[in-house]
Amino acid sequence: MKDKNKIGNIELHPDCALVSINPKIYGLDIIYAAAYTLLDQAYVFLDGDPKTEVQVHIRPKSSENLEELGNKLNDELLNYAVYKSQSEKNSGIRQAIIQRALLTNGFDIEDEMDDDLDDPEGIAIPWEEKYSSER
Amino acid sequence: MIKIDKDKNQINISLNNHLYNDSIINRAMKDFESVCEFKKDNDHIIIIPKKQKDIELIGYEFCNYMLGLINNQGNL
Repeated sequence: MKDKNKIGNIELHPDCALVSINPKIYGLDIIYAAAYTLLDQAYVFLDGDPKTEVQVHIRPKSSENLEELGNKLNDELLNYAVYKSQSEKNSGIRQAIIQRALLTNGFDIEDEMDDDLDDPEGIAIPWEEKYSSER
Repeated sequence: MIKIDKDKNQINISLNNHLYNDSIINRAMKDFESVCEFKKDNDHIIIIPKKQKDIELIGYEFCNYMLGLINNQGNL
């Protein structure tokens, strides 16, 4: 049953929305990241107990809809939760890729330079080479 | 909890230290010191704007700024 001033975990007040979040479902780092996305549209304040219930107070900066802001926060919580989950799953692969890239012998840059490069302005000529002959 | 006291021209903010740690609060206070003065007592901050103008905005922007600092510390 939908309370007039409360929709799900969003409590609507005349000038702000209060979103209650279970920190066991969405960790603090996720809450911070999700709340951060609202900073351009609203003033955000965190309160509550990080072990049991975190409350996010959202006060719109202009004419933003309170319920929409609350819903956006919920969406971003899920978004960052998924991102974190995927990031943790892929961390091993990501680490392997980076290590492989760093350990692989690099190509010889001079071999890659095109000796027939068309350079009418002389831009590709090193400064020392260009001006040392003029001294 | 944020309370705006327009008569005294100050903003009272009660911060949860588990959500806003001291280093973040101190850094934000330092960054805002050009526009306001601060009185800090454990988890309670009193912000006194140097100019009596838009004191609400300063209080709310201060909170937003702290959240920005928290995220820039290296969270998601």
